[in-house]
Order: sequence, then C-alpha cells, then structure tokens
Amino acid sequence: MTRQISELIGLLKSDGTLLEVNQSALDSTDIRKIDAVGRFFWEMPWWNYSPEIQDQLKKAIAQAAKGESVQCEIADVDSFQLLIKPIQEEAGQMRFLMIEGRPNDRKRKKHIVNGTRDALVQNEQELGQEPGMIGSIAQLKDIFNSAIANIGSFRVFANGDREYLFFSPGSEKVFGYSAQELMADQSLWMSRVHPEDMETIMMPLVKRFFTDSLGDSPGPIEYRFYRKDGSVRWVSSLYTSQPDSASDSRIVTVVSIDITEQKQAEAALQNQLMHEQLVTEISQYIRQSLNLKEVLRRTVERVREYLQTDRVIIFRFEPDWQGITVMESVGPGWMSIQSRTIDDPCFRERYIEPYRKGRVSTLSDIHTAGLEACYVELLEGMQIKANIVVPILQDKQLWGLLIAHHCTAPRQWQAEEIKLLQQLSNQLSIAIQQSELYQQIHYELLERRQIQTALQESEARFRSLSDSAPVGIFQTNADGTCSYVNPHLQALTGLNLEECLGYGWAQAIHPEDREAVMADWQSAVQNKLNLRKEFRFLTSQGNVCWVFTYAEIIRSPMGEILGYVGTSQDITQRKLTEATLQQLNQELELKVQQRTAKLEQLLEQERVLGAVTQHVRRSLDLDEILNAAVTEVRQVLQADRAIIFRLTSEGAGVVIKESVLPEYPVTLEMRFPDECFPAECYEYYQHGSPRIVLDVVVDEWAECLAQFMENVGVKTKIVAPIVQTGEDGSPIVWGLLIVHSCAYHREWLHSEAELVQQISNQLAIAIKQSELHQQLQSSETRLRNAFDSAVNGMAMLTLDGHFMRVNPALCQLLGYSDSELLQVPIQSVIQPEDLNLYRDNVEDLKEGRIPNLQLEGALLHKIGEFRWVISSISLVRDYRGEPLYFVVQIQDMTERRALEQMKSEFISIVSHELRTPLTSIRGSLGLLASGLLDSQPDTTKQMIEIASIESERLVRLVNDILDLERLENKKVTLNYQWYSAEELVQQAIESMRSVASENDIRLNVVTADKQIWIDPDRIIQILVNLISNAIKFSEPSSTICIKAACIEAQAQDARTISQAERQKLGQAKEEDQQQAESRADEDSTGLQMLFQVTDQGKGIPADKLEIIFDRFQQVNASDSRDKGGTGLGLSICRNIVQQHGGRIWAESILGQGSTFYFTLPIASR
Amino acid sequence: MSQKHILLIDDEKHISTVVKTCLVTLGGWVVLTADSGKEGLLKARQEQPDAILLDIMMPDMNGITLLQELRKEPKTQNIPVLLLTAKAQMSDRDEYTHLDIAGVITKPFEPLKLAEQIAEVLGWR
Repeated sequence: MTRQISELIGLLKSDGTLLEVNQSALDSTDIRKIDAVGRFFWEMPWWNYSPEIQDQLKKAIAQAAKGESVQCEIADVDSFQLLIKPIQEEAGQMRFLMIEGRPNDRKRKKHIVNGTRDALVQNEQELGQEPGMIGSIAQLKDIFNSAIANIGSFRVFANGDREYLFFSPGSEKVFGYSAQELMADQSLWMSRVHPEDMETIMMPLVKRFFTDSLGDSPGPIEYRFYRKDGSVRWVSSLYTSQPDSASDSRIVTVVSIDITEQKQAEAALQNQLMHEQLVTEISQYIRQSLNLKEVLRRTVERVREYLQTDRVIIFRFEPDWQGITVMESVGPGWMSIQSRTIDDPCFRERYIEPYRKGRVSTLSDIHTAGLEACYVELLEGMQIKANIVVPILQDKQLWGLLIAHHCTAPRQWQAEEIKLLQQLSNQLSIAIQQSELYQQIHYELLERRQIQTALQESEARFRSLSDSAPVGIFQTNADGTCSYVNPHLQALTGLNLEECLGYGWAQAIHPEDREAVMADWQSAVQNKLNLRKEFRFLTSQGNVCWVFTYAEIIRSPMGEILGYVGTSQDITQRKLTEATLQQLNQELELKVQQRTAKLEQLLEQERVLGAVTQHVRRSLDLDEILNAAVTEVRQVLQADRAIIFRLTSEGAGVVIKESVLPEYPVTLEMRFPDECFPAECYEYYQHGSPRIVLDVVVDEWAECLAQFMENVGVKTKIVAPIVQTGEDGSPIVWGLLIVHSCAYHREWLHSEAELVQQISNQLAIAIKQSELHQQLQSSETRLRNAFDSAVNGMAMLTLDGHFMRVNPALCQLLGYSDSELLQVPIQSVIQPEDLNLYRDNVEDLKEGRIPNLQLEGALLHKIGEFRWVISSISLVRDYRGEPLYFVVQIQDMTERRALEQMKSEFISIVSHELRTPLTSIRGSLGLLASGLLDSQPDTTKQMIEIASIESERLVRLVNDILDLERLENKKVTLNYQWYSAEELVQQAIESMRSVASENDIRLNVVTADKQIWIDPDRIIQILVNLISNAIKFSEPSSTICIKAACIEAQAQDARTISQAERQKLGQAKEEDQQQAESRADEDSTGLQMLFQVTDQGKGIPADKLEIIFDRFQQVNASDSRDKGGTGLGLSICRNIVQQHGGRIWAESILGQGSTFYFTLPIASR
Repeated sequence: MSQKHILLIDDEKHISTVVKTCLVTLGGWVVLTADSGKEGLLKARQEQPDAILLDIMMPDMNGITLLQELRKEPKTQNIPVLLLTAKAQMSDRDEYTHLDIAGVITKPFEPLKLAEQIAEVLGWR
C-alpha cells in the first residue's frame, strides 16, 4: 500500500473488475481512475502484492459473486477490514459487487457509516431498489451524491404516446441535451438513439410499458446515443415500470448512466486479452515445439490475423547484411515475398544500425514519413503503404526482423500493436536460441551415438583380435595389477586367466629373471612409464620361453591413467638365433682380424709396388728411381739392407745402390769379379724369377760370396733379377735387386719374394724407359740442331696458325726474336692480299685435298718491309689421321727476286739502248730508200751521217754487251802472262794519244816497271777505257795523269777498303765483294800493282761513285750519246779487274776532277 | 684546216731529226722539237701545239713526269700526246694503259708510215 487510506468504496463486476471507486481511495495511489477501471481489484496497489493477499481477495470476491456478503480482513502492515456485497439483478443474476473497506478502527468505521447512510437512502428510493440492498448502498452516500449528478433518469408513460413525464437534471450529463430540451421535444430522445440499437432499446421498453413485474426485468440495456454535439456515447439504462394510478397507464422509469468509458476500457481490455492470449499462445507453442519453422509460420499467421493486416514476414540477415524472407503470411491478393533475398544498400546503410540497437521502426505512411526515395522505392516494390519493423536480436546480435506490412492503405499503428510485436520478437529470440540449442544438442547426441557405436565396434574388434592374436596381450589397472590376459599369453605362461590376474602372472616368470622383471614393473608403474623388457617365462611343464614385453600406459580423455595395455611376443627362436649368430660372429671376427692383418701387409706391399711404379711412370731419372726402390723395399719388408747389383759383364758386377740400416756395413760401390757369378745362376735369373736364399753360407750358386756375406753380416736374402730384352729378343740380366736379413735367419715368404721381383720388373721398365729417353733426347737434339741451323726458315704451326716452334733463320727472316714470334700468328705476317689464298690452301691441306702446299708471296718483316719467300707447308697427322700441326719451311727469295728484277730491268734497258740507235738508222735509211729526199741533198747527207754514226754506236753497244756477258759468265778465258806494267800503260797511251791530241789534252804518265801476272789485252782494255772516259770528261788543255806503282798490300788496308766497299755496295754485289776480299786477304803478304787515271774534269757526285760501275749507269744518261759511250765500259772494267783478283774504285772532288784506281796482284795464284 | 703543229720532245737528236724529216715531208706539218723534258714543257706551254710526240727515257725529266705536268695545266691539259718510245717490252706497255695519252708509237718505227699512223690516231684524216 502506497499511502494510508481512510476509506475505500468501490463497485466491482462479478469477476472482480473494478468499475468505480471513490476518489480518496485513488488519491492514495498514483493511478488515475481511467486506468484503474477495468483492472482486477486485487491488482490495485492498496496492499502489498503478496500472493496470499491476492489469493485471499480472489476467494472473497468469488464467494461474493455467488450471492453472499463476505467480510474479510486484510492482514497487511495495517489491518484493513473489507465488506463485499453482491448486487442482485432482477433476474437473480449476479451483476455487481459493492466493496467497502476501512482500517481496522471501530470508531472511525461507525462515523463513516452513519455519515453516508442518509444520502444513500434517498438515492435508493429514487432507484427503486429493494430495501435489502439499500441498507448497504445508503452507506455509500458520498459516491452516489456524485453519481446522481451523472445519472440521467426520465419517466415516460408506457402508453402509445410515450409521453415523457420527467427528465432528471443529470440527463444532460448522460444525453447531452438538457432536461428542458428533452421535455420540449417529446420525440428528441428516441430520435437520438443509434439506429442499430433501436430494436435493442425498444423491446424492453415496450415490454416495460405493459408489465409491472420486476421478475422479468430485462436488466440494464446498453445502447449508443447521439449527443447534441454529435458525439456518440454508450449509455446503460435500467427500466422499471409501475402503474400510474391517475391514468391507468403504466409509467416507466428509465435510469441511465454514461458507460462510454467503461465500454472503451472493456474494448481495451479485450484487446489486451487477445494480445496476451496471442503472446501466451506463441510462447507456449515455442515451449512445446522445437520446430522453428513452424513457430515462425504460426507467428506470422497469428500476427497478421491479430493485426488484421496484409502481410507479416520474418526476415533473416546473412553475415553480409543481405537478407531473406524466411517466413511470410500474406493476405489474398497481395504479392508474396517469401524466400526473396533483399539486398538494398540504401536500407543497409541507414537502418541496420538502429535495428541492431533494438530500435523499432514504424511507418504509418511511407509517402509522408520523409524517407529516402530509394527506400520508398524498395517498399513500394513490395506494395507496402505502412509497416512496423521490430528487430529480432540473438545474443545482442541482430538476427532478423519481424515485420508487419499494411498494403491496403496507410495505417496508424497502435502502441499495443507495436508492443505486441516487440513481445513476440522476444519470444522469437527465445525460439531461435532454443532451436539452435536443440540443433546443437541434436548433433552432439548424434556424434555421441556414433562414438559409442565406434567404441563398441572397436571393443568387439579388440576382443576378437586379442583372442586370436599370435601374441600375448594383457591389460592392467593403474596400480599394475593384471586385469586381462589373452589366450596366447595364457599359453605362454602356462596359466589360465584366473591364475594370471592380479600379480598371478609373476609366478610364471623364470626365477632368474623374476626379481629384475618385478622391480622394473614396479618402477614403471610408480613412475608412470612405459615398459619394454625381454625375459623368460618358465612354465610348470618346465618349458622356457623368451618374451619381449611392451606395456604402454592408457589414459582417459582427461589424461587420467587408466592402466596399461601390453603385448608379450615369443622371441625364443630369435634368442636362439642370436646366440648362434653371436658365436658365428666371434669366429668370423677372428678370421677377419687375421685376414685384415694379411691384407694390410699385402696392401703395404702393393703400396710400395704402386709407389715404385708411379716413380717409374713419373720420373725419367733412373738414379732417383733406383734410390727410391731400395729405400722403399727395405722399409716395407723391414729388411736390414737392400741393394741393386749391376752386372757389368758376364758374371762381374758392382753395387750401385744401397739402403742399409746404420748398424750394418756399407756395400755400395763394392765390385765383384766374374767368377762369383756362375753361368747357371745367370741362366736362372734370365727367366725373371726371384730366389730366396735361406742360408748364404751354403748357397751353391754363390759359394765365393760366402765370406763376403759373413763380412757384411748377411744371414738370409732374396735376390730378384732385373731383366731386359736384348735386340734379338733374348733376356739380359741387367742387374739384381737384393734384400738382406742380417739380424737373424729370416725365413722369407714367397709373397715377399714376389714383391721384390715385381719391383725388379718395374725397375726393368724404368731402365728401358731411361734408355729410350736418352735415345729420344739425342735424336731430338739432332733434330733440333738440324732445325735450328737450317738455312731456310722453319717453323711448327698450330692448326689455327700460331707458331709453336721457330728456328733462328725464320726469326732473322722476319726480324723477330724467338719469343716474339711465338706470340705472332702467321696470318699477321702474310701480306693481306695473300691471306685468302693462304687460308683456302691450308683448308685444302687439312681436308686432304692436296698433299702439301707451296706458296710464293711476301711476308711482312717486323720493321714493315716485305720479304719475298717461298713457303712449303706440310701437315702432320696423328695415327688416326687427325691433323696435329703444320711444318713450314720458308725460303727467302728476296735477293733472288731482286736479281731477277734487275735482270728483267737490264733486258729492258738493253732493249731500249739497242732500239735507240736502231730507230735513227732505220728512220734515216727508210727515208733515203723511199727517194723522198732525193731532191734534198743536205737532208740526204744528214740522214746518211746519222745512219753511219748510229750504226757505229750500235756496233759498240753490241760488242760491249757481248763482252760483259762473256765476262760475267766467265766465258772469257784470260790469257795470263808475265807482262810489264809500264808496257801496259804505254800501249794504252799510244792508242789514245791521237784522241787526246784531238781534244787538246795532255797525258802525263808515271809508271814503275814491274812484271805482273795478267792478261795484258784485258788490262790495256781497262786502261784505254779509263783514259778514254777521262778525255771525254776533260776540258781542253787539261792534263790526264796516268800512274802505275807497285805497292805493299797490307792486310789491314785491304780489309778497310773491303769494308768501306761493302757499305757502299748493294747487297747484290756482296758475293763478288766477298771474293775480292778473299783475294785481298790472300795477297796480304804480297805486292800489288796500283794503277790510277786522274782527270781534271767536272767530277762525279759522291752518290754516283759506286753505281757508275753498274751497267748503263752513267752520271748523265746523255753522256752515252754525247760522248759516244755505251754505259757498259766501267762494268766491263770492274769485271776484268775482279777476275784478276784486283779491285777498282773511283774518287772524285766535284769541279776538280776524278781518279779511277785499280789494283792487280803481282802474281795471281 | 690550218696546218697542224706537232711538238716532238726527245733527247736523242738523231731521232728528232729523222722524225721531223718524216713528219714534215710526209705529213706536211710544222714540227717543233725539244731536246729535253724541261724544254718540252716550256715549248708546249708557249706553242700549244696540236699534238705532242713524247719520248719517255730522258735524263732531266722523263716523259711520264712531263705528261703529268702537261695535264695539270689548263693550257696544255687537252693537247693530245703520243708516246714515242723504245721502251717497248710487254711489261713496259702495261704501264702505258692507264696514262692519259692518245697512243703509243714504238721505236724503231716505220718512217714512211709514221705521219699516217699519227694522223690516224689523232683522227686528222
């Protein structure tokens, strides 16, 4: 109870619903009357809502509803006294209950009761109620005082005129018309009754007009009435009639109250009831059903039915906020959106978030709600005009939406409708959760069943396997006590299952193993370890059985140790095999050790043999090989001495190599005479077999050596011959490889003798190799010498043209050093225009199209000059015919070519020189012969002179040419004789005196008279030529001096001259010069005759002093014509002088004159 | 047609005399002579003859050099040149093929046909 109330008076329906209550009682609560009306009385907050009080009230009201007054005391904080009285209807049916209450205070109660009684009495009279009821009603004076004001009552004659006799003032409150208005217009009241309710009202009214019986009172009639202001109000009227004593008619009294609010409250109650029924129904259904789909279906159907709307759906979101209509109830004529996926970005962006927060959305008209066009479009697409959207949340997550669509027209949604949907949404959440849980449980159950089945199958299989397994299987508890053994293990232990259980199995363990097995088992159990162990069972029959037992811990899924499961495998056979194997192994081990030792020894011997062989292959140094052989063989055989004994002649020999331990005497270089080496011994050794001598003293083949052996401390030995093959194929014992044992009488093994022999054989190869090498070396040296000293250039060329080897002649020819030339490819010394020819030819050579190659061409000297050569190239191939390298021989043809060129030029000059006079001769004679000049005597004469002069010139020329040719080719036989030098000069002067006189030239002669051994004609020819030349080039009145003197030929002078000449002479003349030099040397101790012809002419330029002795090499070419020379005179002179062993030269000072000298030996050999 | 002038350059005076006699007598041309290369070059410039007969082997300036000099100068570069030479070996003749000359007459020549030979080469008849 919120506040203390002093008094409570109320009117209840028979079910306890509150119809009216006094204001003071309401004032003690916060509840308005309008909210109180319609509620159950026991729900009003006048008391604490203890179930006991509510129950007490319910019972009291139910009892009163049966027709008896009930008094009860509410035992709340303050004790409260209640009186509930029934108000009977005329038909005897219970209609109302009057309730009166007050705190449990007697005085106060009396006062209230007395105070209200009078007012109620009056009202009772007016209402015409039974006196029995009045009693209590009269006590409700204050209620009815106010109620009266709200009650409209009128009286009307129940005749056909229906004359209204009275309208109470309260009528205005009820009907909206004043009493006066209603009285004034007698038809007004009736006309304002709602047409539909006319019959309802008329029937009891008419009935009332004709009866006065209260027994058939129709009770209050409820109808609608149009008030003056046009509003419709519900009115409840109670009819009573009584005879009118005055008119003999009956007067009907109608008492009316406005029950509009009550009606509205009833309707609201009705709605609420339906609402609650719906929620209850759905929630009950949810509790009963796990079929979510059916729950949803029923929900949408019932909601649509309840809301009287066109479509209700349940929409479920996907993770990406698309969604689908999972359930729909749609009215006839409207489109279905069942199973439709709705993915509208517009909707998603704006509405998802509010829904997630549980917000409800209502739209009464989509067109006036100010929605985005896109959303309106979406809604229109589903024919929606108004909607309610309620989120369905699942664990605070937005699961989906419960949506009601109104499609017919816009709709104003009521609060209770929204509330309903919210409640249903909550219920649906429960249903969804429930369904999911159910699904989960369902799956778990299914899974568990499968596991159980699998376990059962596994168990069955295990048993089956265990029973038939050819291996012992056992199971123990966590404490190690045995709980199961399979038949096989029973057989192994010789115990049955019963005997094995607990620790019974231990009695089958072999006594020797039992203690250890039990200790290990206890330890494993205590330490929670797996166990692996091999041990024996000893059955009662005395059978011993080896087993390998493996016990593994088994655990529950929680990790708790359940026990062990294990196997015991019969390994008796294996154990027996192992023992046998071990024995075999030991035997084998021993054999292997012995064999290994032997092999090691052999390997060492092999190694030594290998080392010696390697030495032989790698080295050609015989000395080194022999040294290594004696050292190695002594070391490997652990001998005291090893020697090589060289047989120098049959039977005789010398120790040439020795390896000996320091404590024994040295035998190196000891010589042995031939008698120590008997022939039969030699023959034996020729076969190449070793000999083991186990007692040197009694060695029948070396009797003479016994003393020596004793001296050098030899006790036993191995002797292996070193055998060579002679030229005739017979074996020759080159020497012996001997191994001594000095320390003791060693018994040499055959394998050791074999080794020594093998080494000897290798030494034989080494010796042969060494000899071959020496031969090869000397052969190579010879070849090298030939190669190096060859006059022609020689080279070895790789296939791509690189020099592999070159000889000095080639180096000199090309101007490179040996090392330089090896860096130069041949292609770079061939003149470029010849390269292609070279390459083509070399290719032909390689391909075998030509056997060899000879090329003539120019090679480039290092300094850039070309040397003309003839190259002969041949290809060396290997045994398969594959090309290896080229051998090139290069002959320097430069000088020969120069000579040939000179020859060619000489012919050309000779031709020219011959043609020149011939041209004049032929031309002049041709003209003369033609007669054309007959009329021109001067010209004719001139032509004849020309012909004559040129003819003489031609004769001279031809003579000189022939002369020179004969001299050069040694075809002239010189007619040597002793002749006076003075005479020679005189004769020459005599022949030239007239010419000199003609030219006004003096000849001055100084001569020594000395006999010389010469051809006088030829010497005179020289002198005449020189004097003739001097005259030609001398001015008139000048003097030519001719001298002849005997001089001492000094070697030094002669050589000096010779060298000077060499420098001046061309290469072509070198050979001649060498001859001259040689003569000069020969005469170095003799006397020479020096002739000289000196003129005072214009002189000869220095650069011409030598070449004037060459053919057709005058200082001036026109000299031959002007002076009548042929250009060959000096060449002829030089030739004659040289043939005499003399020398000719010229000295000159330009403008002063020239001197021509020549020498002749006094006596030529 | 005016009388043709020919310049003969040859150091062999006897040959010059014979050739001149041949050409004057049989060709009716005016023949100028020069005894050396240098003189020949000078006269060629001065006289600008209709043709030049040129020896090769001359001491001061050989015929080949002289020919090159003639061809360098506008005045003389178009004068047709005939070689008159005793260098008549095959190897020599090869050397003439690349020279800017009208022809080669070898010594000794046929005196009565010389003028005709020259006229034919030069297209004078």
